[in-house]
Amino acid sequence: MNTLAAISALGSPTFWMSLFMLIGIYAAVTMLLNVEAGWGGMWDLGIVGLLAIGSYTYTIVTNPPGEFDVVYSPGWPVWAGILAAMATTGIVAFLVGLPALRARREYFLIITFAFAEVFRQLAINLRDVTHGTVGFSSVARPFESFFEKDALRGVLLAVTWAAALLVYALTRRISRSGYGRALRAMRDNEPVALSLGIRVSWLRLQTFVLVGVAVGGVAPLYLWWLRYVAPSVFEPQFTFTAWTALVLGGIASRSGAVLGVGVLLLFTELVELIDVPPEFRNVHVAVHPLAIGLLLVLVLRFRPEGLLSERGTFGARARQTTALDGAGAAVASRLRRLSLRGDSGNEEAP
Amino acid sequence: MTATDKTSSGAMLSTHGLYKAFGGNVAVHDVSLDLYPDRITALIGPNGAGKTTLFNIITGYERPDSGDITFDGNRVGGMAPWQISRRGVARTFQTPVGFPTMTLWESMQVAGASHAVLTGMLTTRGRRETAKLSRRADEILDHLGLDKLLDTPVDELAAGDRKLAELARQLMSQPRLLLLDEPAAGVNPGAISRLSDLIRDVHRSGIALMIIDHNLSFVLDVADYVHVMANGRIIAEGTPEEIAASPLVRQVYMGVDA
Repeated sequence: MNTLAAISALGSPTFWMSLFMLIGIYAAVTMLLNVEAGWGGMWDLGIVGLLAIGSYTYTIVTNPPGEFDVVYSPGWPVWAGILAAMATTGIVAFLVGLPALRARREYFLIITFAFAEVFRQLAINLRDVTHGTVGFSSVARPFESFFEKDALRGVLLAVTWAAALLVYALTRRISRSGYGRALRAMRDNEPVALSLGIRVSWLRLQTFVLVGVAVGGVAPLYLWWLRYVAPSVFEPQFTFTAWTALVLGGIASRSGAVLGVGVLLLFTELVELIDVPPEFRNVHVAVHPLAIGLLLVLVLRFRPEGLLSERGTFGARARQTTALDGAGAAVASRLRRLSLRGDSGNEEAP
Repeated sequence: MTATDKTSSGAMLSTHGLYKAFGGNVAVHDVSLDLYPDRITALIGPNGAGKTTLFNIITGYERPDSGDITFDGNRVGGMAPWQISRRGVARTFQTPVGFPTMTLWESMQVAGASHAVLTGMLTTRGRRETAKLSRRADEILDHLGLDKLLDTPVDELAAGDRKLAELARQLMSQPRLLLLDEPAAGVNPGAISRLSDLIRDVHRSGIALMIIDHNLSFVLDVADYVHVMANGRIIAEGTPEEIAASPLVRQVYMGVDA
């Protein structure tokens, strides 16, 4: 009977749609975390704090006036809510970044972690604005008047994946640009980066704000999946999951973030799905973090750089992919290589 | 940006009474020197003489307690390293770690890139720049004999190649003045004369040079003018012949280090 229950859940499209929407959301956040931590070397342990700022901003400005007992509810449309979430998160990232980015490595990690907790405590205590621990039990979703329940779920899944794809395209652009190389340079060796004219402090702040704005844009997607907002949603668990996925997939690898999220969430959701008799339920709950830990240990033992690695994304390929970016450039470089092979004495190619 | 006309005529870089102490240790004591672009300048002295500290002050990594630096007639004392770098002063480091996760090609790209990094990403200018930098990198690596190592990760280079890679990377930024911190350290003796030739080539291409090194025969061979430092002070200066003949230099420098 237990097996039957599990199988029926696996066969339900709702389960899979929900899971894939969650994977899309986590993938977007983890890719952004990779830009900041993987390439920029800024070990941000407070990314959920930025998500909280974006989420609360979106919910507060889009909630219909009068529905909740709070001081401010202008009832803006969804698109305005998304823009407001991005702007507010960007501003908060700037304000947090100013003091926090003066610290490095574990000190930066502690400061960002603390800021995320401060934001959560504010959400709990600023009852007039955030509705306290109860939060908001409904969230404005786009297209609600156009589609019925099941179709809407499909549309939102598509929107989420489109957003994740957009984030991927952004990280791809970054990885091949001078900006991406400057990030990795300052992470690898700050004194040398400085000696090449890279303004490290400004680059760090720019990146922190860029990631903040983007996380603010992802926040509404997360809420459309959750359909409520409360401080408990923004516990550090979210940050840890994104970090675990990043390490699993391969920190500083471009596609690793997506693969890591896919593997981790499939694994944990399926573990959750196993139906156990009531007397073993405590054990089942305890197995969940244990299983994640085991997965992490196995990957780090046998593939210390993660499933994919930084060398896989960059390495020798970095030169070729950049050269091959345009079809014309590809042909040109191939011709050049051929001509060089014929006449190895003269390598003064134009 | 205040221009000063105190600079001795023709000097590219001048320091005036630089002083720097760490706690009770005076690392640099009243150092004034002029650097002229038409000759290769060297700075020698025993360990702990304050040579690298002086480099660090000139390139902005350390703030002098007092004294001033002018580059091209502009005061640069107290500026941040990236600001000084953008004015055309490049330097190498004693330990050539570089960017260990990058290939040689990538680290060359970092060095030449324009500094409007985030906005450069959004335009096609970035792509054109990459192509331009790629050609410049090819040229430099070719000249230094590193062209076969284009796709090698920097941390997998042999020690000698790593030194050259460090030089190559700093050349990418097309500096006007290059400070070399112990370029011959870790280079095997057979390759030193080739290194001297390369350094002369760099100088001939129009880049002013200042070199710190322990290897006295290498320095006396490559340099046109030598400053000798001991205990934070410049104790002697002159042509390599004068320095080699100076009894004071022999006593202080070779007495301690050889």
